[in-house]
Amino acid sequence: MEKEPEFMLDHFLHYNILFVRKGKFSPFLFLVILITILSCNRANHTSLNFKKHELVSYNTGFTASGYHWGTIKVSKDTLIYFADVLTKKKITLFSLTGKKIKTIPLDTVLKKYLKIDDICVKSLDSVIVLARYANQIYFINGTGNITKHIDLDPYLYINGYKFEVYSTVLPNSDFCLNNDFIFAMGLAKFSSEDTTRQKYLYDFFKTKYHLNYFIKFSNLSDSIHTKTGFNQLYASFKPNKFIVEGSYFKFVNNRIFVLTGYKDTIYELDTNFNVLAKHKILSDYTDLDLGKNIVDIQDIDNDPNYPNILAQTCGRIDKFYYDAFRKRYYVTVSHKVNIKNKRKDRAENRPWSLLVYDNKFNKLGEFVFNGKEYYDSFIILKNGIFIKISKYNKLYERDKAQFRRFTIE
Amino acid sequence: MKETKHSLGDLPLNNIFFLIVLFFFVVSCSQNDETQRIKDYFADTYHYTIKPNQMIIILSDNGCYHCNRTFSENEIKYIRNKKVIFLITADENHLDLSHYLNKENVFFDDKKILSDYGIDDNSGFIEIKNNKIDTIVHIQYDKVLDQITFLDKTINNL
Repeated sequence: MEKEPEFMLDHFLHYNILFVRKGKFSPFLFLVILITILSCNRANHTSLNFKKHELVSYNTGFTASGYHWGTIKVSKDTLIYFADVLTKKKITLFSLTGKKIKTIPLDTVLKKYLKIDDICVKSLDSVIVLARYANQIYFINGTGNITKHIDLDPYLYINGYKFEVYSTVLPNSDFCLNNDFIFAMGLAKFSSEDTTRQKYLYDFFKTKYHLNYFIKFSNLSDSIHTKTGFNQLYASFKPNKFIVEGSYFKFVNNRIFVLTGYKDTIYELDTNFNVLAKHKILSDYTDLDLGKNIVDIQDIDNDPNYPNILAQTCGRIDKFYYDAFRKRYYVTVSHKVNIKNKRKDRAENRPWSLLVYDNKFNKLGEFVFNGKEYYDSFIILKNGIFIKISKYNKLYERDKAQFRRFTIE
Repeated sequence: MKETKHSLGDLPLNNIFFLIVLFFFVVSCSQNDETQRIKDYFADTYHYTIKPNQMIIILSDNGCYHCNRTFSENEIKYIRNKKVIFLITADENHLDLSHYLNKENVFFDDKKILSDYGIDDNSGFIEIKNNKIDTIVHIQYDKVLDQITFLDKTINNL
């Protein structure tokens, strides 16, 4: 049974009963009761009503990755799509009741490039694919055939640097905003006069931390226009610090929300990459301390995996969602865990919180989840939030996308 | 009290002999223990009995993506080799596993139960020789091609 906020009270009551059984009312017992009351207030300070509902399964035939799913509108109906861009190489679309509507093969695109970075599903007959590490865009139709190709590479030599573009790693998000494409940029080729590894890394990060983060491609059907911007995300980091992470951004009502695991702030931008607001995230249950624990580049030689271990054990912002039905934002944070934990218990099973904000970014509540039961990957629909069950959940079935419906009212 | 320090050279010869025997006994026990754990894992999880001479190739999505992909692509050639079994802890959305689906000598460990038996579940291989673990190798990002060559030679001599 997953740990939900209301169950915490049971634990405290259990311990209090033990003290009473032992007999004497003592100052210690009083202290325990006081702490209990304070703890309960903290767990339940929200007025939101959190309810668990039924399990919903989609027979995808593959393990649905959180990176490649979402919803589209087809006439008046909402469809859900899931994609496996590596092993089964297809996109499958379902009705909300779980009926399989269509499968779009991805083999043709994958014959061109080994890996797909992300997909935008526009309709049952139109999908836009970004090939990873390649700067190539393919438009495919409902049978998987390529109908158009755009080579972005010539536009990515900027100020003497060569860049690669990446989509967002957030669930239910992609790189298509209206008729434009917006990508995060990464340095593809970098040369340094210093040949030692540490000096090279120093020069690399010194450059990276001040480069523009975004590039927008507009006017795609004619002569393409590009615009870059937003260099604040890593600008405060010193060049001797080593960070490694994907790009986390989401479009909401013609604004761009950007986050990084290394900060406790979410940036809100307009579509020309001007910063409109910064939203500080605070959890009642964990420190967001990854940014305070960034490794120095000289430590990488001792243990190349150390930055990953820190990202798996320090508290950090993880996911960001917008609930258009209830006009709310959801932010998930991974809780800080012991660095000595086994990989499974730090990388996959760590607890996390769902933080609920109103549309002015006022915090409405926070709910704790057990990482062994649920992943922080959601689909948001009119009748609730569908949270993906973990492969360590007893109800898990291979080759299905399984979600538990929750309502927070 | 006067402090005395002993070096190995100060010990009588029979004590040194005892220490050497103890060392090999401990090493041998830990290898045997690990062999037993890997046998138990396959028996408990898949009702499969490890053969006296066998190569176990582990495909994981932990750590370096390029290393895991290079390793996985190179080992496809052993998919029909009866001396080799594959243990896949990787998620099919993180690694192209299409060549490994529905094969007799491939075992999937979605829940990474292997690590519960105290066995490292990173990509690599475990050679069982004469009913004991002979070699364990985990893929390292700066050595992956050499390690693949070493694995090829080991499988040929198995």
